Amino acid sequence: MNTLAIPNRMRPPVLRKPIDDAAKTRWPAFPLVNSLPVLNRLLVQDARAPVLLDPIVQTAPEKRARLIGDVIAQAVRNNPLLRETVLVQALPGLKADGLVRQGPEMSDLLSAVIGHDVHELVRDIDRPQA
Amino acid sequence: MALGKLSQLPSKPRQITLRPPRFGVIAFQNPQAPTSGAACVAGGRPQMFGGRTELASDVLWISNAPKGDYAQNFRAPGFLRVSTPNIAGDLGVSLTDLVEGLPSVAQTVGRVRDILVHAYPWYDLSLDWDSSGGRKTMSDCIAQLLPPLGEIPPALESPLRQACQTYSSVPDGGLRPYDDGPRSIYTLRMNRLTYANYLCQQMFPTNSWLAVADAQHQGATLDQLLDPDFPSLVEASVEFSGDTGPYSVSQLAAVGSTSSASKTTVRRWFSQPELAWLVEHANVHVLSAYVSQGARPLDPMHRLPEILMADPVYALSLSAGIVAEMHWDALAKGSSVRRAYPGATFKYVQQLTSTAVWLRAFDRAYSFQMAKAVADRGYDVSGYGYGAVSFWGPKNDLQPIIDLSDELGATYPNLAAIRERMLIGGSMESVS
Repeated sequence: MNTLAIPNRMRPPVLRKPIDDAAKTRWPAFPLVNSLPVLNRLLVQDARAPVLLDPIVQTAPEKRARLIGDVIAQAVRNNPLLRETVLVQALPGLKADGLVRQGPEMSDLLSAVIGHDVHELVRDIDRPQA
Repeated sequence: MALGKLSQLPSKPRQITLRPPRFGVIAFQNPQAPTSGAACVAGGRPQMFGGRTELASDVLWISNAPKGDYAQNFRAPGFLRVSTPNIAGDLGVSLTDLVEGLPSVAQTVGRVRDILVHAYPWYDLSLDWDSSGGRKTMSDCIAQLLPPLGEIPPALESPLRQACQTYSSVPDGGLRPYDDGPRSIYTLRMNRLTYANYLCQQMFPTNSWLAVADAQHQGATLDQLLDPDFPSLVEASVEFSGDTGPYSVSQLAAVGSTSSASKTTVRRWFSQPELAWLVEHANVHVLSAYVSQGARPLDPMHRLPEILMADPVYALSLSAGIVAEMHWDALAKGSSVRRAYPGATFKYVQQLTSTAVWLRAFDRAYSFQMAKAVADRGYDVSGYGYGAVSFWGPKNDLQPIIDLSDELGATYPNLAAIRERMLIGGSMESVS
């Protein structure tokens, strides 16, 4: 938002830019429009999550999904009661945002934490209700 | 003629690129007597110091002392709108914890600085961020940099000032007798970035106004004055009838009751967003009004900076939220202007734009809903504003507070970490 005629002649520190179109093709998970509200509520229930999530603005776009996955995993490990919240509330949003399709690394991580095969859960969500 | 080596200029002089000042955090041992304590810069290790001269001079030090801005590169806790103890509470760490707490807060504050550098077209941060010219907070610095919000007709200056309420302090909040054991004050807060975006997406009045001098005779009904397509500034008498519920709505509405007695004004004027919820709880008698010719969204240059809004996932970052809160606070600030007074004297008076007053009103309307939900649960609300509500709750039982936080959709503070510390230490600290 450079609105003034005077150029910004300061050398800014390193900060990751918003996700560009190329990254969108590679990482279809962004933006996390569907899962963000749930994540916001879910992750504040973990004592370590705010500290771990704050660097997100300086994390490269392709690594953000991994960061969020790690924090979800950490949150469920710290508080097993959150597993149910992830299953019932967060997973549909994560699925809609494509986070569970971030490759085997992410789905394996989530599967291990949640205790179910994430791919199977996604298929269940996709299946039409009787 | 051969010249000496030292007298020769380099063949290609390179321009020195200026670097923005670093941000650091100070935790004074005794904030009331700020002399010694621990300090940390983002990415560095905490250091103990015995006096301020031991600290690096190129760092803007943000302290936890109320009068912590006594040196040229020291700033008071409110410099970033959110004090360092509050940042620690939101992160779920303790500022006095030198192993993890202070470095985590310093990292967050460092990221705030990084985002600020990118978000606005600063010219020279050594000058733009200094404390001269009334720039006591970063919001003041941002306010001076943003394009003006437009001229206000002189007739509206006083009504706008009377319609502005920054924070709502509930009269006698928490003074009610309480017999259920020791209490502590809690503050529950919305996600700052999401909340700032909500405020900046509202509709605001245009700068063209029509006066309705006598609302009764000119046939202006309350319904007409509450039409959101035509924002209005209403002179009204507001009276609350007797309270029948478990708590006093008239106290909770806190009309004209702000955090500081010096900032109180007689509330004869009300903006439309405030009046819209007041009429549900009080008898409103309209005297006169100014009606805007239309409603408009914020100009793109006044909306949240692109760097904060490009990816919704940034809402999970506390530092991005702090910048967002400073941004809307900067928009909602008044400017001090010199006014001539009789007897060849002058006085500095606060001049507010309608956008500033409307932002405050939207904030008050939302925060009141939070306060009402808290009061409905039986807690004594002490104040609300900035997307947060403060109230008195049981000192050693955090579960009902966590449930309430879930119900409100509040994000901060990090109650899970506070509960962990309670379980370990067995003590409770101020949760704000």
